[in-house]
Amino acid sequence: MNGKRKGTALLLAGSLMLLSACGNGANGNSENGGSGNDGSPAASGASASASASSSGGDSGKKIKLVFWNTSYPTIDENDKTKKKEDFYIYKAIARYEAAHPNVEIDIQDIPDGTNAMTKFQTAGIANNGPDVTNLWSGNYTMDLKAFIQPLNSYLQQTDIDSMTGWNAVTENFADSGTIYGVPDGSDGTIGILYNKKLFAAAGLDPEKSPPTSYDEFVAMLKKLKDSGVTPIGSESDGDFVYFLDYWFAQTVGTSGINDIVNGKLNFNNPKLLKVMQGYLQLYKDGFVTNDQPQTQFYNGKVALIFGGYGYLNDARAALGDDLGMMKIPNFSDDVVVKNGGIGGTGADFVVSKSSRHPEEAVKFILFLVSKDEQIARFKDGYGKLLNIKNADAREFADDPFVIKQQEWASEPSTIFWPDNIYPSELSDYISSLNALVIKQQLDPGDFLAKLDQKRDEINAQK
Amino acid sequence: MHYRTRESLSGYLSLLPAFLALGAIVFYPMVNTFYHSFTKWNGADSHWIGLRNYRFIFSNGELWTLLRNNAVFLLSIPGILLLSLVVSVLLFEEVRGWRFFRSLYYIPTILSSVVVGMLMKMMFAPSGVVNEMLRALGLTDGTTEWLSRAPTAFLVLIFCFYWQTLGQGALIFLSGLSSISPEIYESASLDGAGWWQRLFRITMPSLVPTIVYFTVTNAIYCFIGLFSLVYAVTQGGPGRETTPIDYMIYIKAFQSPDQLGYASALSIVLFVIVLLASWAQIRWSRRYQE
Amino acid sequence: MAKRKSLPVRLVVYLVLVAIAVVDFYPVVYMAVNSSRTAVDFFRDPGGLPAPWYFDNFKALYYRFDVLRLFGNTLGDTAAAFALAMALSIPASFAFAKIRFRYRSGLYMTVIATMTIPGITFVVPNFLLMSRLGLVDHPASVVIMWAVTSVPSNIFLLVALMRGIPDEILEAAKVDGISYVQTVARIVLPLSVPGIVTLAIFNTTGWWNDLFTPLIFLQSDEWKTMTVAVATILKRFDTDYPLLLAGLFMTSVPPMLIYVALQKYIKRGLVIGSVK
Repeated sequence: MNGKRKGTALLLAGSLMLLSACGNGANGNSENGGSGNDGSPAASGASASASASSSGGDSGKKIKLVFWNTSYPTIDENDKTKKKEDFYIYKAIARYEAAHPNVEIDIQDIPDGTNAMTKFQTAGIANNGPDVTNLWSGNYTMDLKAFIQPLNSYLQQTDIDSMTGWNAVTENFADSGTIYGVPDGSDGTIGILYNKKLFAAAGLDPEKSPPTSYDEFVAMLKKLKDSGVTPIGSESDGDFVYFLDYWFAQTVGTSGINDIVNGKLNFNNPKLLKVMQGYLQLYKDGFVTNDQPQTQFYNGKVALIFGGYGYLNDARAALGDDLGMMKIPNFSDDVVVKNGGIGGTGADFVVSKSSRHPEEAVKFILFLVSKDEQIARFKDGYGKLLNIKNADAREFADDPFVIKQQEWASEPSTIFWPDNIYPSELSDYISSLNALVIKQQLDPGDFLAKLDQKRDEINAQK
Repeated sequence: MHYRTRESLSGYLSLLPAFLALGAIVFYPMVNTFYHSFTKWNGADSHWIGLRNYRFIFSNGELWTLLRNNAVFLLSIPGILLLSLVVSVLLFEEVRGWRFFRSLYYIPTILSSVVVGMLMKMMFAPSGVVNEMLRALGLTDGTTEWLSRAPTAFLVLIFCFYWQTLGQGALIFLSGLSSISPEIYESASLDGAGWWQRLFRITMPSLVPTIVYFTVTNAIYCFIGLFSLVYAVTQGGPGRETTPIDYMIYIKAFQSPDQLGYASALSIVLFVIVLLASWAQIRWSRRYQE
Repeated sequence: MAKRKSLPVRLVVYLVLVAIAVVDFYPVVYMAVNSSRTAVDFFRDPGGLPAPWYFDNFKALYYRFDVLRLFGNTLGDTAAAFALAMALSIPASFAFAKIRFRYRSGLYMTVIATMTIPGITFVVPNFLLMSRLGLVDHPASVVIMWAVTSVPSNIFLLVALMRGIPDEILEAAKVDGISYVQTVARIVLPLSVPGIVTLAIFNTTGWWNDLFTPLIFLQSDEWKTMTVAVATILKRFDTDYPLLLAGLFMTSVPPMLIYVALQKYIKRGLVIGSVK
């Protein structure tokens, strides 16, 4: 019986705790929601009034746009005391709201990459999507088109004429047709970022004599390795998207990539097999490490990484004048596209089908991608170049590599991201399998054959 | 008779809320999923395609890799069962501070898989702290690429699984052990039974229900609960070498357009497999208990 | 119990337990220590101590997150979900354990069988359901999802536990004419407390850490849970490991505290009866 009484007491204590926990939770919510407070007055104030306007309906004229932020940073690795409202996107929204008093932007942070797409898809299914969000372009966007508003009727020809990258957001990558998004900036062109000091120590000067062929590239890597440094840092999927894809695409050409997608050409063909073998040889020779490539590069532990404009700011900050940049050498002499690289507009803004104010949403998007705003975010250190046709980086940037990136990006030899052209499921499959190839657990031929099998399965299920 | 009806009625009434809730959140979606497993479905529109999803599942060769991956985890259960048992029996010896150990062992169970995933990725990175330690101890050369190869990636995952399950096991087994009445031990001691004899004649047999609970729930976990751990630690890689079925359902449902029907079919397949497995397990354990 | 072991044996036992404890707890220490370093310092020596100790990572979290709100949301959601889960599970478990009626074992097996359903497939139908009910982006959706999906395993454990309640007590209650509700409230509940507390620990810590359900069902910052917020913001910064670790550490502390607070209540009297 003693035990029983003890039990009752415990239960009481437990339920009290539970109750007080409930109370705390509720109080916490209402307090924060109601008054908005410490740290981020702007943000909590905004969301509080946002919920008021959506539930109250008293301010019938005010239009609320929900913006899922997947791409703008809201935390700064180099300035950890920076407040939320000091970040570019919050300032941009404040500017927009000031200019459009009838519009209110409700910004909500959403995970990026594939998580963003998962969330966008589920919300779309329930007709609950955001007014505006940022997705990866090409097939990543097209795969979700059941939930995305076609934008043709909201866009002026002048808008379209002023920007590049529209193929990436147009059905079938065509020059005209249904437009599902607004291209967002440019990733520049993926090349090689290298550490000049480490190169000099190995007796190399790629500025004077850049490697132009596979053999020269290998010779260069060998010299680096002999000097006691790991030549290449690459992601654990073998930098398929930045590097291998380029050799693939330059070998078969952009039309070849389309043929592969449609099943007219196989991955498993002698040319691509040769590319695979050459690529794998770099791993077999011990030229590559897959461990924290960027950090290793910034700390002078590896001599080069593959990257475009996205890494430029961080790399410059870490290496200063020791930073070098060059293009990825051609795989062989008989490639279709020479001296190019991968890049272009890898992301876009979309309006979900559930948006009740698509016109206002597009206006907001056009504001975000306007020349002034793109320059402003560029200056804030955002990882994208401009996709404005008449913008010259020289006007607002002084890093010569930024200007070079812009030049590269406008060259016809820059190939649009092949992973945005493959069906997204296939892209995902390729990078997972490539992680096996580079560790020599999957034969390159088998790899290519598996990719064809996957492609055929995807096409058969269409 | 009247009394009986009343009792039945209160029985049914007690079940009603739970069944209504399960009906809405579990049974209805189950039926919904079953229906959609015969369709091509993007979440909004679906059309009937008969058995095509199932045909793909059984013909594209992926299912066997996925099942193998689940099986690897399943086969690791005896290890954690043994470890939990040993730890519990040792703790039950009333070593000083057993409460402290029990609490400490439980801490990893509390960590989110998001936390575990990122933590393990850092610790098991080639230049991470695990390699550093192994090199310092002279066990390896410190260059093991844990997550790049299937066998070591599985080791890391199973380490996480063990790491997060030991606390739960210790908790459950300690409670099971404490239910054994001290008199039985005392009379056994009087009969001259040694420690080992008591362990195998008294302790273990009385723990059987707890062992069954532990193995059944963990076996189910190994089929349907691995997603978040695998997602956080290896993303199913390298390749698809550590992808269990529920992770593939996620990939098909959310990372492949128009494949929700396929994902539904795959869930039905998984459901049948798990149902059969747990049924067999409970059957077997019941026989063992008798 | 009353068995005194020889000193060397006790020493070995201690050594084993301590070794396990070190392996067990080291990652948590690793997380705590390395969250107070700069990225460069961490890169140079991932196994060492911070030089110097650097707390700006926590400052960044403080400035960036509305920590109190996130904490309040998560605590409120888990507490509500647990209350709902118990309201559904306790009467049902008692019925399964102690009341005789037709189809009892059939119904029980049905509930247990639902434990074997992979929850991930239900996301889409349930999301549609919640959106029809207007509950998407409202904490009720997460509370309901968490509570209901936990019911089968709660029943599984509670039934096993309640079977251990001696029938004589219940018979005596019946003879005394105590009503059904009172029986549950006055006799069954108190005797099930160890089980309920165990479930509280299992369930609430699991929910606290759940990423997927709140990620899908909640949208606005107003309702976000801590795990989602941290995973959302920090995953983009995979080069600044200490910053990431600080975020992870911040999300991990509350569930650890919940556990430490509750574990006192787990009496060794928790018994798991036979599983049938």
